[in-house]
Amino acid sequence: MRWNLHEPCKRLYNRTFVQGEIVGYIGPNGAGKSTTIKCLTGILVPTAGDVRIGGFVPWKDRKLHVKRIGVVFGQRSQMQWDLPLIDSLEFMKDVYNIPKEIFKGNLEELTSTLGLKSFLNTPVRQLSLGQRMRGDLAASLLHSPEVLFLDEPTIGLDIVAKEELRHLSDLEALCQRIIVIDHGHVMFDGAIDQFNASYGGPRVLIVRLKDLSPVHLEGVDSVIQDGNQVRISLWSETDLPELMAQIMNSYPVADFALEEPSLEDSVRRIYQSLSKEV
Amino acid sequence: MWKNISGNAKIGLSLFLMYRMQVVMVVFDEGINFLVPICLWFGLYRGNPGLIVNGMNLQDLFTYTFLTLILDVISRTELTWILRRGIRSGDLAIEFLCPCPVPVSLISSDVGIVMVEIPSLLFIVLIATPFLRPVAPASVWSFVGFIFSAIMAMILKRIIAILLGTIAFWTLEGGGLIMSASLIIDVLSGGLLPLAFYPHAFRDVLSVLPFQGLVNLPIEIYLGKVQGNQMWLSLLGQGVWTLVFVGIAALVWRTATKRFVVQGG
Repeated sequence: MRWNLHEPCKRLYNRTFVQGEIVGYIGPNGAGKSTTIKCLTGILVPTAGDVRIGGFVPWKDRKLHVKRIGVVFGQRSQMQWDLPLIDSLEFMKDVYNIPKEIFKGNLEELTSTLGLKSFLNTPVRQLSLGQRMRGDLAASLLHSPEVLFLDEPTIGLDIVAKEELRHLSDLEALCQRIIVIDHGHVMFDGAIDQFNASYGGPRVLIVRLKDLSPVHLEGVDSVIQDGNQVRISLWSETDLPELMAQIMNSYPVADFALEEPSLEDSVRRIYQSLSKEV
Repeated sequence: MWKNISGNAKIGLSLFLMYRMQVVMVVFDEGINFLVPICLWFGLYRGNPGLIVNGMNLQDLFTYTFLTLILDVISRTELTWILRRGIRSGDLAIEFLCPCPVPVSLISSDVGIVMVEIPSLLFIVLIATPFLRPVAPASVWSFVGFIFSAIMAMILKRIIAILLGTIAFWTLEGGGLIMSASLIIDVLSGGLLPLAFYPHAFRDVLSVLPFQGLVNLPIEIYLGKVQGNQMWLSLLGQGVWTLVFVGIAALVWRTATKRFVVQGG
């Protein structure tokens, strides 16, 4: 499924978003992420500033605006607690006035994509958090919205469920741009690899030796040896193939692995630096 | 908009029917509700069934009780408390994602529950009628006027309920205030005691206020105590008050939602 904006979207902290863009919005607790989303969805009225999404001001043109957006709040569900999931999804048909055939098609596609079939007729109160989240995702997409807001959709999910949802939505892979905020200030706005390069830690080469030979290397950031396991932090300009050749020729290598800085690591680093500034 | 309203009503009805014991207990509750005032009036008028006080005899009072119960069933609403809970918990935020005015979706969900009250209505009519022997409407026009007035009472009660619920936008915890306001409205509407028993001066003031339209006015129309041109004028007044309250509620809602803070993040 592709969800496209029909026209240039919104400014945020003097930001503009364009059609088809997928933006990750990151910040520590209390940074203002959820508040921003609530302003963008028309739930809250800001005390100052302007937001336009597709020409609509969310809190003034709320009824028209919400027809074009889908929202998932990780901490609040749109599902009716006591009713089967399918009842809540059919309610969306009435709420958004979705034509019958389109609703049927979207429901089939979402049931298949999100794996809802086994619990469509189960009351929402009996679903696991992961199942409820998938139900909320389906509800937010049934009316084919032009803009989709996801506010902590994986909160509370265990690692397996989180990975399943990531696989389904593949956010980190799809997210072309991230914005990092802290208490209303934009700390970073750019591509993920740029973010990792700026804030991410070094790549780490992990080598397991067959014996306890001490390892000495040049042209790397640091070498930490613990028994037969060696962690080698690399500079960005380190020639990895050359280094590997040097290690393989000089030491009895049993195994090796390469750790790339993840987005989570980069985020952790920036949060830590922000908390130090405070 | 109509699909939105009917969708909300369907959901309200489904939610209420999920717990069958709740439906049974509502019917049982009505039984208690009609027994207490009946005992009171019978006790007060005992020994003199022909006694007339402020134009009301025992049969009028039994009929008043009967119709109060019917009006209570169709006007009953939890909107005030639903709104208060939604504001306190922050869950009201989800209602703002619906492409429909939030009060309209709340009211339409509430109206869905009214349909479940039909067994209660049947209970009152079938079981209470042989005991209370309510009098027939004074005339066909009295009955027509009663129906119009009852429908407006149903709408006005819900508008007032929404208004009371918006208190929570300012106070967050307005439970005490809401209960006090509800009790006062019960008194002013004639829900606790027919307005005919209030002092004259107080009755004159109440006759121009909107609250008598919730209970006393529809029943007085039914009993023929307000008829002819006076009835149509009273209905017009009730309609005007309903529209005024709709306007007030819209204004208050617009102001209140600007202050909305989603509790709990």
